[in-house]
Amino acid sequence: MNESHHILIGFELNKDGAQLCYYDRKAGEPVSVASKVGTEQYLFPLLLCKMPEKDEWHFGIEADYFSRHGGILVEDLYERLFTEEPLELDGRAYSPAELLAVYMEAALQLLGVSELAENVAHLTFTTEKLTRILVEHVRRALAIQGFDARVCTVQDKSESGFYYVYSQKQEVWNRKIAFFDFSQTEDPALPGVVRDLKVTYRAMDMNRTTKPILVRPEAAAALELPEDKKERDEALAHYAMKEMSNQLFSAVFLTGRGFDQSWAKSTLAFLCRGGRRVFTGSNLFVRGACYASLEKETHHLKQLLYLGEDLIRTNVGMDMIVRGNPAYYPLISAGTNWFDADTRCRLILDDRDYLAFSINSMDGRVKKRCRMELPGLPKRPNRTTCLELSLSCPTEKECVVKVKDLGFGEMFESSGLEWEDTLPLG
Amino acid sequence: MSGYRLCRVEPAEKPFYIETIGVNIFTLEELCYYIVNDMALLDETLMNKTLTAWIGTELKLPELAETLNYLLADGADADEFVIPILKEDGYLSYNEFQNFRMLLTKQGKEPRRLRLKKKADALVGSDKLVGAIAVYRKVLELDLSDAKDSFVAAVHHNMGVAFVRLFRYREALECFEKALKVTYTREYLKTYLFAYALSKPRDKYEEKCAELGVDDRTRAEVEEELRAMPPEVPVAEGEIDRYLSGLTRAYHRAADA
Repeated sequence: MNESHHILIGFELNKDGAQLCYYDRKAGEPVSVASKVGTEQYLFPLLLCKMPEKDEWHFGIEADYFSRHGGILVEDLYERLFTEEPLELDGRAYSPAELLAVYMEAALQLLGVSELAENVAHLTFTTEKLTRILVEHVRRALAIQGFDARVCTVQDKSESGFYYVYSQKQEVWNRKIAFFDFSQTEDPALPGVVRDLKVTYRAMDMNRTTKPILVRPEAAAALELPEDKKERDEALAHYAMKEMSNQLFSAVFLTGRGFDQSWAKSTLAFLCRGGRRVFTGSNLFVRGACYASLEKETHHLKQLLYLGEDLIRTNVGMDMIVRGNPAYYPLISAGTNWFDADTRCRLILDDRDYLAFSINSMDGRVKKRCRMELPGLPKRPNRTTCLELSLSCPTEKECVVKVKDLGFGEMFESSGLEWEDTLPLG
Repeated sequence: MSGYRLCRVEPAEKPFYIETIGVNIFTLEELCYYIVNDMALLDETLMNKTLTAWIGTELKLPELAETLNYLLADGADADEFVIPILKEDGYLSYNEFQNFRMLLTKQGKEPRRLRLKKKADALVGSDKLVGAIAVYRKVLELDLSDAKDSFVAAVHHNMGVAFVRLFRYREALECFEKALKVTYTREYLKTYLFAYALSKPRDKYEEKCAELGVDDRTRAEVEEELRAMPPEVPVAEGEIDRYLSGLTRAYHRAADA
């Protein structure tokens, strides 16, 4: 590892395993970390193992080994991230966040950097699908490991794909981009035998007429591929033709595990048509996450806006008096992912006993004002009621506003009253 | 300009204690509110390095603190000292700010005895009664030979009111008698009689009314005020200790010099 401080990290975690990479500033590109030095084993099995009556954990391949030598195996870590259920392990309950923290900490040690949390410039965590619970667990796991929340980002695989693609040369992305993401199950008893092979088509396209340039993702339903190789090739080729028909693509990415050129001749013949560039690789998304970390420093892609499904497309704000002057104060900004939309502020009521929010969609089509009543708010002299506002978005379609009466210090005691309302977005 | 005023500056972890009103403040907005609403109380208990240090370290406004320190070093008056604080927060609108500056400048030009009386009145308003009495006494120690009788009487009267609220009726009655001696008004008489009725037996009160030749209307109004006072304070069972502690705290707060 060539970096020792200001490290940029990408971390991908999915059902079939985890991957890790860091940005090599000298080489100018992300570098994947192998689970064993000198090998190309970049996928770490999503396994955790605790040795009984000891604070000793193993992850990945080692976890599998130690589980056969007295260790307690945890093999459903990914599924647990979608629940709040703690796991009873060796006489103690572990939350999903704690288990994830143990796994991540063990994986990140492969970087060989001491005091990693202090030496990280940015870490991007990426996974297939984001839910509120999963995001909370990931954030909690990062906090347990000592990472400052301000240097951590969570995003889905599709967004990581965006960062990967648009960090390449222009000839790669000057037209539409296609992804075919493969996943498979391997039978440990039959190494090399692929089962449950699935493929998911995704695409990305730019709208250069807008400012910022909007990059819109598309996705199709996943396809299960037959076990027979000839049938598999035919099914995949047919799927590709159906999804890509009559459109111009500059590049196609074949990612994940399960694709092999040896059985996909018809598919490749189609994909390479028209001078399209075809790339294969199993670590595209983790490298994309690493590019996302880099973007926090360089802002090379600031003219692009990725319209992921987690994106909030509405601005929420208030007309306020700021330092004596009227100003629009943004609370939730369009272009933010819902799980990143978290804001807090304090304000003083001036001849008002309610709150008024302005809600404007990104495309300008929807402009409305929402009023939030504050029943029971004590009557005090003007400008002596201070309220604390907290806004967060449980989904990209709604914003929860929580308000607390702070009174006015010792001059006018707080009533302790709190109110909550939900503002629809779009 | 009404609406919502954004609080830009985070509250302090450690408060600043405003001695004159016995209150801790934690925010820039609370400081501005005090400045604007207790103009008469702006003195060296506020305008000092303790405040500027608090603004610099607790409110994390080192530039404002530095500006205020320069003003202190230059011997600036209240009207110069508070302006940067109000500007920092934008607590007042432009028109309000101009108006406030005008009032502050006007206050600065007022005779010292008037400024002190206003300060004492403001202290009474903030329940700092012992402090108020001390300031009233300072007023009376000044040369009042060219002061209007109404002013002198008002000082005596208001000091008497402060004494009443401290339950020091003997001193209160002395003050009211002096006020009446300087300027005999029906309002001053009513206040005197009210205090007399609270502190003396009924027969003594009747004697005093007869002695002063109090008319029926005035007596009736005083009686009405006496009747309006609650005969007993309802306190729930089990709350008596808490209620008495609250009264004690309020008394001590008022009695803080």
